[in-house]
Amino acid sequence: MLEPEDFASGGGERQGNGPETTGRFIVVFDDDVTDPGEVLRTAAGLSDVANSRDFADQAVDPSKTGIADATVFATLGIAVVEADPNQFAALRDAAGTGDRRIQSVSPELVHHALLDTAARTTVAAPRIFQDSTDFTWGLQATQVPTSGFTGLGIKLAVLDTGFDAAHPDFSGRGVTMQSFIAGETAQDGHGHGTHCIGTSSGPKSPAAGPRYGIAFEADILAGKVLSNLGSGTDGGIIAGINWAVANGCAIISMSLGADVPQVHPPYVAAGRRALDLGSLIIAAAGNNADRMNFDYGFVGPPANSPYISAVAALNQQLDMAFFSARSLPVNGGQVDVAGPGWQVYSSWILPTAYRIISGTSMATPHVAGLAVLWAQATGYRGRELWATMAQDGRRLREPSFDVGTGLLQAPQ
Amino acid sequence: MISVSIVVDDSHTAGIVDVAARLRAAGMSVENVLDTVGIITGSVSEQQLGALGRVEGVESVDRDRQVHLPPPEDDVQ
Repeated sequence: MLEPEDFASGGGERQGNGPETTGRFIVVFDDDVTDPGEVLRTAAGLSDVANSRDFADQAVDPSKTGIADATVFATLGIAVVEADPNQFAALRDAAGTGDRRIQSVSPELVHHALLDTAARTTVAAPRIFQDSTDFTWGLQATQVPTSGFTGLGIKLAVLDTGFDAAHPDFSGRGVTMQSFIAGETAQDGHGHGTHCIGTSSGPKSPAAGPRYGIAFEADILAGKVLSNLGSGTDGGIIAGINWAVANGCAIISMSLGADVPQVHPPYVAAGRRALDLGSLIIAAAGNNADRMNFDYGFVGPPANSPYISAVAALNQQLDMAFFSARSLPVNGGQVDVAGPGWQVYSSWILPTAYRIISGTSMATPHVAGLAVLWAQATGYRGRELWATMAQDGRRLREPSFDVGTGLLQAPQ
Repeated sequence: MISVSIVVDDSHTAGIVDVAARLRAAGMSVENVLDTVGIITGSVSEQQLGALGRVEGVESVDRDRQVHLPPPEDDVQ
């Protein structure tokens, strides 16, 4: 909200360290306003209004608008206004009170070509996250505790070693289970799948310990594509993807991969067609790095498909986990985002019930659960969902070929 | 027999069943016709593998890879 001093500080002078302003104002109209000139006339008595629609190709010529009170940029729903104090007050009051035709009124700022930005690169040191009695460190680092979104109405597929249907934290949850492993039911005999489902979509109030699950009201589809011994093939994994997409899953989480530095065509096609149908696949970048010995690894398939999001693992200081793979320098080989992947507490098959383990496999369901929240919050699917959540990621000091656009955050 | 994944090209995904029939005729044992993602999985002998890439509607033929998780007791998964 603007105060009267804002108007007084206009006039082309820089006030202290404040922004340099012109004395004019920028008015932003509501999306529904069809005639901004009429709003300026009725709200503030501004009569001489130039409109971008009156110029060829809407290229407003400033030499021809100099005497106008206001210039309306019709396509943007924005006007630049030369207002006296009374007119400014009328506009400001309209924006601040009941007149929904005006979204905001702000001083026009003077912009300069950016020549020296060295002084602006200071970044605050990250805090060190730790599990509390209420929340795991990963949920804290991704701002899950303060998000109002739950995953309600969003289908999430986790393609892994299955799920322990007897786990008390998921009683009454109605998890859909399907096995793509010959001779095995979808019941988890390994633990990995139950851990990933816990992180992505575990309960708001677990039977014991801190909350570890993100999208606690998501509809869970547990597809078993890895055996109880933890192994699987492309055939089963692709069958699982097909099942998840056909069942309308907005998000497909895959904490699996092969340690080979080539892109695998079936995952290129499957990822692209899934995106076209509104399903975003999120996969682990891989654990093939050994950073303490200067081996940075590479993103393997399926995460190195250009149409599948690759997830790196961070520790509690938001530094790289030592095993987390670096971007493979081919199209699609990029690490896209990062998630908490070191000492992650989540559900495990009974009787163990809970376990702390590490891996890009654990970072992936963090990102998948957050993506479910974004799908609910925005209604977006596919590429639009991917771009929106990646753009919001918390930028990190680690290089982008290790962490992509940074640590994904929950929508607030 | 070699397990393979066949990507059907975009112009033939609507007729994926026909592509599967041509693959069978070329010697492939078709296991799954995955019409949502436009991929056919199955197996073929080493001798007949090369012929699959020449079937109308086939974009790529790839040998299946295996993925392995570490044993459950490992700390890094």
